[in-house]
Parts: sequence; structure tokens; C-alpha cells
Amino acid sequence: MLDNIARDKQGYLLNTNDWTEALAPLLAAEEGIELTEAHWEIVRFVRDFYGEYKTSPAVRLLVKAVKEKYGEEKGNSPYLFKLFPEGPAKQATKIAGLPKPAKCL
Amino acid sequence: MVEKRILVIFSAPPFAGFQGREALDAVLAASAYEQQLSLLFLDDGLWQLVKGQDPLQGRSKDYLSTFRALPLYEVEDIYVCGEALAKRGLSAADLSLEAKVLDSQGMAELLAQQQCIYRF
Repeated sequence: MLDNIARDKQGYLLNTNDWTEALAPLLAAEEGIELTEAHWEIVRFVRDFYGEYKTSPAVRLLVKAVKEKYGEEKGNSPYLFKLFPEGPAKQATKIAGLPKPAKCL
Repeated sequence: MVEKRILVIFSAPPFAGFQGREALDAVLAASAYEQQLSLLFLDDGLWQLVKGQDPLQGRSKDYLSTFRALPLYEVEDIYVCGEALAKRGLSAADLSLEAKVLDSQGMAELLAQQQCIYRF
């Protein structure tokens, strides 16, 4: 299914409109992640964020925005890194079919 | 890290070049360092903030929507030149963000407070 979709060298979708929910588990598998409801919550969150602001949230903002929406328990780096070990912003946006956050400082 | 007062000036219109988008990228990057960051919109740079434009008609990426995310990045010191606003028949209500309108003296004071000024 992923074979027919244009992606960049790092595996990010070139066109966010190509994304469907069915692709998410496949993209996650490439990252070594098995999606749980906790992952989905963050994936949907970054997708909504992109829909509104047309930019992928960087990690600092992701932590803050998740905290605002879901509270302290989830809005912290350890929780998010446990879900997405190689970087929550990087991996969640990839699984959500969004561009990589531009300013990974 | 020494905290610096940084001002980013937007003076170019959107879609006529890449200045607006580059300036916004610079602002988002700088916001990660928790500096005292202010934005000033001058001249045709005001059009960066005017609501209701359809960038997709110009086949551009819709980076104008990203300006609305600035408060989330805690970038809240946003100023516009009152004279430039009036000259274009615009008011603060036409803008996609809450901005403080400055007269020429206000702008002079803002500029005088900065350690770094980047103009795009």
C-alpha cells in the first residue's frame, strides 16, 4: 500500500492528502512502533494541529499543547518519548502523513 | 544564555518572494531559545497578516495560517505600523493575529529597545 505513495528520502509523505488512517499502522511499523490508542491520540492531535496551522508542531510545542489538552499526565516528554522513542514530533508527524517539523533545533 | 531583545521586521508582501516565509521560520526557530522576541509589520509586510487570503490560488504553501500559531509558541509581542495600516484602508480587525498598533514614536521606541534587528 505504501509503495504507490510518493515519499521523501526519510519516508515522510510528500503530499499530506495521500494519507489515510489505514496507512498509519504501516508507517508506524517502519518506525518499529505498534500503534495503540495512546499513539493514535497523539497522531490525531498532530494532524489536527497541521490542519489548523499548516505546520507540524516541533517537540516543545507538542509537549505544551498535549499538556493543555490532556493534562500533566500526558503532556510531558518522558510519556511522549515512551510512545515515540526516536522523537515524538518526528515520529508522530511521519505516521500522521505530515511533513517533518522544519525546525528541529 | 544571555537574553537578548530581538526584533524581526516583516516589510515584504506575501507571495512576491520568500521573505515572509523565511522571516516566519526565523521567528519560530528563535522562539525555541526563549529570547525576548518581537515582530513588527511595516509597509506591504502588513499583507502577511491580512485574513481571508487564499494562498493556494497563488500555488503557494499556506504559511499564512502558521502566523496564527505564534501565540502557542509564546510569541506575543506583535506590532503593526499604524500609518501603513491606514494607508491601505486596513484596521486591526482585518488581521489574523492580535497586534498592537504603533505610531511613529512607538516604533522608534520599539527599535531603540532592541539588541538585534532582522529585516525581511
